[in-house]
Amino acid sequence: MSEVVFENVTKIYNGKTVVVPRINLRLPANQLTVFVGPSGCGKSTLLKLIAGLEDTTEGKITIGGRDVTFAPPAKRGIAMVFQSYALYPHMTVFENMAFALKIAKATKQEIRARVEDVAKILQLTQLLDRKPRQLSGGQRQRVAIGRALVRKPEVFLLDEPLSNLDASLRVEMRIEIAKIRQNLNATMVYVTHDQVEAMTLANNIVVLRAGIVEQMGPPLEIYHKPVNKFVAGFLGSPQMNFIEASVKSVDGNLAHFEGTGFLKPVTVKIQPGTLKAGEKATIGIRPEHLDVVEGHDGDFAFVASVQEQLGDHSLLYGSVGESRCTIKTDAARVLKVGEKFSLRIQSAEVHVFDAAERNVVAFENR
Amino acid sequence: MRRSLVESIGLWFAVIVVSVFSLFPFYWAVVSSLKEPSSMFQVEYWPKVLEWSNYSSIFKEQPFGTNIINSLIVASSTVLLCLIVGVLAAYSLARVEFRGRGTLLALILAVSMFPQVAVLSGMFELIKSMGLYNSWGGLTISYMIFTLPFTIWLLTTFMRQLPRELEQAAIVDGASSWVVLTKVFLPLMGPSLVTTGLLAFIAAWNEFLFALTFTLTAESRTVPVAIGLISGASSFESPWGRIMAASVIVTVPLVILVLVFQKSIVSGLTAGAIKE
Amino acid sequence: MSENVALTERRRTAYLFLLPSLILLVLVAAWPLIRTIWLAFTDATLSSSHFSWVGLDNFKGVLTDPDWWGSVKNTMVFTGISVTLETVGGLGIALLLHREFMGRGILRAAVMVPWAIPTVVSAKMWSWMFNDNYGVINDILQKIGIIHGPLAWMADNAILSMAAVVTVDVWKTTPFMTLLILAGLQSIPLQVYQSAAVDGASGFRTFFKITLPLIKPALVVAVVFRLLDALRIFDLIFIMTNNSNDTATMSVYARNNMIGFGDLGYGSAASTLVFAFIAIFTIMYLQFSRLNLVGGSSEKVSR
Repeated sequence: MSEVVFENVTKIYNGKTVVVPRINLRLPANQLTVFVGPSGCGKSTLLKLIAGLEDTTEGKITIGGRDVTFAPPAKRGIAMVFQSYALYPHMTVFENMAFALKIAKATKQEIRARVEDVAKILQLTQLLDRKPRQLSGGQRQRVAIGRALVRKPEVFLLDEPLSNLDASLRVEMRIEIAKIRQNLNATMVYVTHDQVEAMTLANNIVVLRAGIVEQMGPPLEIYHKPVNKFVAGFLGSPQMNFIEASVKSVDGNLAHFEGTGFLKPVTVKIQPGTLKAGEKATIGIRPEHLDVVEGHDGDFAFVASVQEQLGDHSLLYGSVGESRCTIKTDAARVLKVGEKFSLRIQSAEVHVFDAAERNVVAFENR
Repeated sequence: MRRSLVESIGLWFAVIVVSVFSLFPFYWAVVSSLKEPSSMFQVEYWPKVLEWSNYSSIFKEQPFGTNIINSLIVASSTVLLCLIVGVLAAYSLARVEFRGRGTLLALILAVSMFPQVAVLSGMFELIKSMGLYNSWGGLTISYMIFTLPFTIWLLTTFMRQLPRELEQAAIVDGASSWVVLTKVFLPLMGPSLVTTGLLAFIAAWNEFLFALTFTLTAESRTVPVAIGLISGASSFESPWGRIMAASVIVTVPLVILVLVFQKSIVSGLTAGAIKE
Repeated sequence: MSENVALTERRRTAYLFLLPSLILLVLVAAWPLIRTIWLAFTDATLSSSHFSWVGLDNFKGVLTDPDWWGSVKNTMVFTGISVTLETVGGLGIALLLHREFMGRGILRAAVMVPWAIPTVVSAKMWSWMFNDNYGVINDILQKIGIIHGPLAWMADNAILSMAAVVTVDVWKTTPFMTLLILAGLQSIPLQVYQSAAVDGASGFRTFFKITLPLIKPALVVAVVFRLLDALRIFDLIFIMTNNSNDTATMSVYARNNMIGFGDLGYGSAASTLVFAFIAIFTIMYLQFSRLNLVGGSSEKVSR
């Protein structure tokens, strides 16, 4: 059992800067949890707290039920892959991977056996005698992972491991990591700012902002059911469209919205009692859920300013009323900039955010 | 940008002037050392005859060979002690957070500002009471006052430049501070140790006041003192030929050392002085 | 709120690692300094081991000795002239070395030679060059026609002997200044110059408005280091012109009284004054730099 629990953990630097106000989090055992969020949101700090490279100011951290709050990193059953890989430059690949075991006073045979095992899994066997400077970026990455795997950790920490690689290598390594995850019997905690990595690798995503957990859940749940405007805007590229509106009327669960750029009122089922007529709200619709229709039969009037052709689809940037709006549509569609079009909502997936940016749409309907 | 002819000429003129100014005294010392005593009284810019007697006489008239050995031993042991003690201190100052670290570093630097005279009498007493008067140990220990501070300062600067994540990886692997220092940092600090060692060696080799004050016999003097005190038959005559010969003997290896390790030394001097 | 075991261990080890250095420094710096200051209040001499407390007598003696004040004046004159010449010279040579040209490596090597030569040796070499009868400097000056008879540089002529001593110091130390300033110059990104060129700035303007302000930190550091060194200078003066009151600096005065005359207490008082002088200067600089430097202190390592 290797569940990681944060209990009322606070982290304050230099007595002044509050990076983590107070967090309670349970990371499920043997799953890959991704911490994602903008820079400075505290995701790396949380990782370092699990590792023991940073001290909690207050609170308790347990791993597999053991209280590790005051334990040194080496005794927590964790292993870590650093953003810069941090391989020991003067040691060979073999020595890099053997270092921790040597410190733990394992026997020569044991060390050799374990290192060679892991080297085989990661296809590093040919490189065991090389030094880091003789390796490519992807190879160094694998050595860093190997160094962590050799320790058979309960919790495997990865700090933006792919951000130093170029695009094609990144995809390749992402698949490697996914494969490792399948064969590994450990909890993985992964920090990244790249939402594609988050979406594809995670069992669970934790979205963080200023040290606070905005939402936690499986990737698709967070994508389709964001609890607030921040989370909705964070996952998904291009970003979800936020269209300013006001409540025309509410009857029962149905709210009717109108606003500049609206061709006709938009009706959405919301949670009861959350909105009143006359209040301001924001409608959230993802670019792939809007399309251009002929005539004025649509929901919104759209003025296009830029079209980007990406080969398999195209993106239209423009505005609805005062709000910026992006649409994802077929590549075949070539539209004239400056022209006005009408947009129709093509899906039942519409979000509504109240003045406090909470998502008040009723989810049960989907 | 191509240079105009005037600019080029001006540049070369400046280069020549500076080079001549820098190198002439040394040239003159070499020339003078190769003259026989009688021809010292004429100013010749190019020696007509090469006369080596000055060189042999310095070793005969005084224990110059022993002086050189003394300097070597004292400078080497100074470097050794400084590096060992300094590396340890530098690790603490560069990589471990503790209260008062900044103040401590400033204080250590401040020690290197002490005028040597200010500690002379106290140090004299100390050396005598430890029984180290007129010995290598006395000089090595007393030299710590001006070699240790900048050694620590320089090593701290170099150590700070090592990547933080490297240390973190070692800690996660279970390394104690000692293991991090010896197995991870030191192997990467070769050039830094050379630079620091060189600068310490040169400083120790050149030192005059303490060596003058803390030694008594001609056999225990170091080279600077020996040269400083070379005297002639009468108190009005200095045996310039011999003095120049001694100077050349001492200077040539030093100059070679400095030229070979130029880059190293320059990086050390500038790293210590320029704040990041 | 207790602490992670590992961090505590690290802190404790850090103190342990610092211990040898601190012990050594207390032994060779703190203790002798305190002892010297203490001796300044006694009438100790080199020969006898009995001494008694004399209060401020020694200090009064020093402060009323015209030779002391002469040495202070000498120190100031020496420092002022040398450091100025070294800074200007260093700046000039650094600018020279900053350019790309064939033979730059040779120039740099040539410039480092004076620095490599031990002070004692330099002092002797130049003393020989300044020798009144057989010195090459008199010879050259006469041949060029600047002077008509040999000058007695190292004899009792205040101006000549100060000039001689300053010349040697400038010769010896300008390399050091050059290196520091060059480092400062090299840290200016090329693009700054390129954009100035595109903007049409002339050489002079570029130098005064761009180069000089950008190397100010390096310049200041170099100048301060030199000033502190020059104020304490001993070796050079002692070897070249030991018995001359015209060039004796404060350190020379102190040492001669202490060891030359054997007057330990009196010499210690002079030494203490020298120390106080340097200390005040250093403190003033530290205060000044703390006001100027923004976050450039050693605390930066923490994050």
